Amino acid sequence: MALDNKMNDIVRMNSASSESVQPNSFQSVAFVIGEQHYCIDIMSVREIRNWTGVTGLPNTAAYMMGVINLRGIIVPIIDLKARFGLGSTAPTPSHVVVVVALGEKLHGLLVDSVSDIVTCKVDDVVSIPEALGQSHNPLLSGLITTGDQMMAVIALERVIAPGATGSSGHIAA
Amino acid sequence: MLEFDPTAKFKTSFFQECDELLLEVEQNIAGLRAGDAEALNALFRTVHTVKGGAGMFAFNRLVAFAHLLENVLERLRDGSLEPNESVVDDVLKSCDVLADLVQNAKGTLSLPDVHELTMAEQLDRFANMVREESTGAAQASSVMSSLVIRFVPEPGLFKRGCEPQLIFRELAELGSMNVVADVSKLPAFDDLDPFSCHLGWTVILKTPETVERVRSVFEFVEGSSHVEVMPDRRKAERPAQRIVASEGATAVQTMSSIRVDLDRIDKLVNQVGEIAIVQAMLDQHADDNLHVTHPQLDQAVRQLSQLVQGLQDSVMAIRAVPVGSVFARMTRLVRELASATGKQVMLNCSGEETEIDKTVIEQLGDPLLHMIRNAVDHGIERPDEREAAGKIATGRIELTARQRGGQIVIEVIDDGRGLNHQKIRRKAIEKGLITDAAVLTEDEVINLIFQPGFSTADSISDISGRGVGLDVVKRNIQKLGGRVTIRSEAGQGSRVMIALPLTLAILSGMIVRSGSGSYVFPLSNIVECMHAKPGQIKRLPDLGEVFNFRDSYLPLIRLGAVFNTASSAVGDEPLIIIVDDEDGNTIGVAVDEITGQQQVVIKSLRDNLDDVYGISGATILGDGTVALILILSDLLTLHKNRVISGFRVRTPQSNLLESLQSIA
Repeated sequence: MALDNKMNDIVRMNSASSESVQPNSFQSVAFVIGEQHYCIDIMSVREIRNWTGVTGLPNTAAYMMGVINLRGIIVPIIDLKARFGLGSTAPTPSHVVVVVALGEKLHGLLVDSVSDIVTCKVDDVVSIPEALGQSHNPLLSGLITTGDQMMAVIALERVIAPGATGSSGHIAA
Repeated sequence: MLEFDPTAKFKTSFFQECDELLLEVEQNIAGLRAGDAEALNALFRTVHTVKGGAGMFAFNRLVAFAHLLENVLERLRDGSLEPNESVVDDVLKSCDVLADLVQNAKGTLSLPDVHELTMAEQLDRFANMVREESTGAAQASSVMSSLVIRFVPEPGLFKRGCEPQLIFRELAELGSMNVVADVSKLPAFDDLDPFSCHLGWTVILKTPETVERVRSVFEFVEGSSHVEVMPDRRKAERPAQRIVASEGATAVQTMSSIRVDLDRIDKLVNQVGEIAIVQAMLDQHADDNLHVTHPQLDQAVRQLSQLVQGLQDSVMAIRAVPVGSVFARMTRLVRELASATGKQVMLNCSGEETEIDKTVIEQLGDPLLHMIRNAVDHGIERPDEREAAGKIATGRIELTARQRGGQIVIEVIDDGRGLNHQKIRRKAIEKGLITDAAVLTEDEVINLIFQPGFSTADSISDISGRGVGLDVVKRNIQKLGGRVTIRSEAGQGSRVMIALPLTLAILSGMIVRSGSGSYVFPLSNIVECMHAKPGQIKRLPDLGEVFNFRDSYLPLIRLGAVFNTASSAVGDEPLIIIVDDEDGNTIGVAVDEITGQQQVVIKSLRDNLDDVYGISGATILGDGTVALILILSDLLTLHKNRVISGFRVRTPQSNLLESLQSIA
């Protein structure tokens, strides 16, 4: 139920604020994995749904949880926590799947919970410190601070890289 | 914003129509050779339609050439030109040029300006040759003239009380006419002012009346609107009456079919698929007591079930097309190949009316082309060789199609020299595909020709022998869920059999469970299901498990093991499904449980995901969960990679893994 309310909020906020979005700013869906806050451009989010279980895909990467049936479309689900190398999630019905579109392709991202819709200024996004050495495959495109919270902006096109969904360590073993 | 071309939509449908009509040309030419008058009419209509449409969009080059071709066809129709071999050949070549010009107009093919020149001259020669012979007849009947009228009224036409419809009625009384409206100035619906006139018209009027008489119809509007009346610059109208008559007749015939965008049909197929899934869901929830507790509901559920099945069949029938359209291209290919190689070959087709799903048909052309090419180039011998071998000089290739169960079987049979086992073997050793010591059965030797990089042609010819081919053919057919087998007898010829599913939308499958996952075995691959008895399974060092099945030993593949998923089918008495994989190997697959057998709607994984090795697609079960459809030959590969040390077939995953490792 809490999720439904959240989704309603999202829909309402989205329609109410669509005119008030300033140029040079964008809205993003903020969510939580563990202690960390992340966000993703609202324009790429198609829907948010509760975790309902997946059909596992054989010999795929550990973060590829499997596929779900989204009204007749087969949609792969990525465990975002595992994708970030933070260990795998043990999903419960209170976990949330954020369905995102990248081009024509739909993917679901498993996260702990969706927290907010945030309007961010483009100028407020700061780049990841190069010292962290992520530059060869950055899954994040930047950091934003809103109030006292720091959110990491997800680079969707790299999280859902072509070929990233099929890797396996087992076949060659 | 993209630039909006108001005619784009019409152009698209014009090109679509062209493509479809031109596809039939081959068939009609064959009919023409056989002296079929209807084939000639069909050909005429094709060229005429292309010309008409091209004129509308001002593809002048296309119009000009179509016109010349039409002239010749016209002579053939009124019998003043004999449809002898050279004429028919040139008509066929002209149709090719016409197709090129259509591509050119579409913008997908750039042609030199002189592309159609030779053919045009040739056509002109045919047309004139006829004219000289039959000038007298031509002039006698020419009394009708054809006028082109352009009428673009001023926007305020209606306000002055003028009604274009009255003008057209009056024109219609003067003769037969063909009206094309110009809607390019029509504003969007919201901006539409119903009191002003946005249309213009082009009328082609065939009338015995003079230009002045026709012009007088426009008396009241001539001052304010743009009116042009001029004689049709295209040629005299003597035989046109006949075209009009035959067009009228076909119009009635073709009303029984309509042109529908394939996307719409696909959508319909998908929706029907969804209904079938919901239906399965209903069935699952309608328990055995339903007919006692809710008899009416039970009856309704049953009835619905039947209706849905019927609906599914009807929808599939919409997409079914006769395989003859692909076969027709082959007739010509054989003739051309024969003359290029100096061989005499006759192609016999049968079963052209067999229907397959359109998507399958589209994928069928290339593999078939390949098989026919191989048959002519490698199979059929030269006439002298044939006679020396005691055969008639003309080689025969048979191309047949028939339906067998849920599959369509297409066979290419030639009476050529057959496959030479020794030669294949030698070549395979040469190319490093097998070792010198390998012991292979005849079938295994023959199957070597499907290996990548294999070709036995002594010299590489233009036609075949580049060594890319049969493996691609096989892979393509497998992708469609079909399989290829070859039988051959030295000196007697070869027989290639391609078996394909009737549709790519629905599959008859057996649903099994392994671990927590559901999987679908294509029913057509299943040989038998059995429970293993104690002691029936043996473990071989380095080869994994095998089991005894009717006096032979088959490899046992445990689904949970090759897929790295937990499975309870680990004991000595698992449930085994015996299947023929797509390569013709018989294997046993151990699963936990068989949950049912049903028609499943095939969903592509590719829409949102990369290929997953071993999985061809997915389907949605009655409870809304997803089941994965298996590629059985891939299971065998996965199995070999797992258990046989040193055996390593490249899978997309292993390639990826290597690239990942090289990064790290």
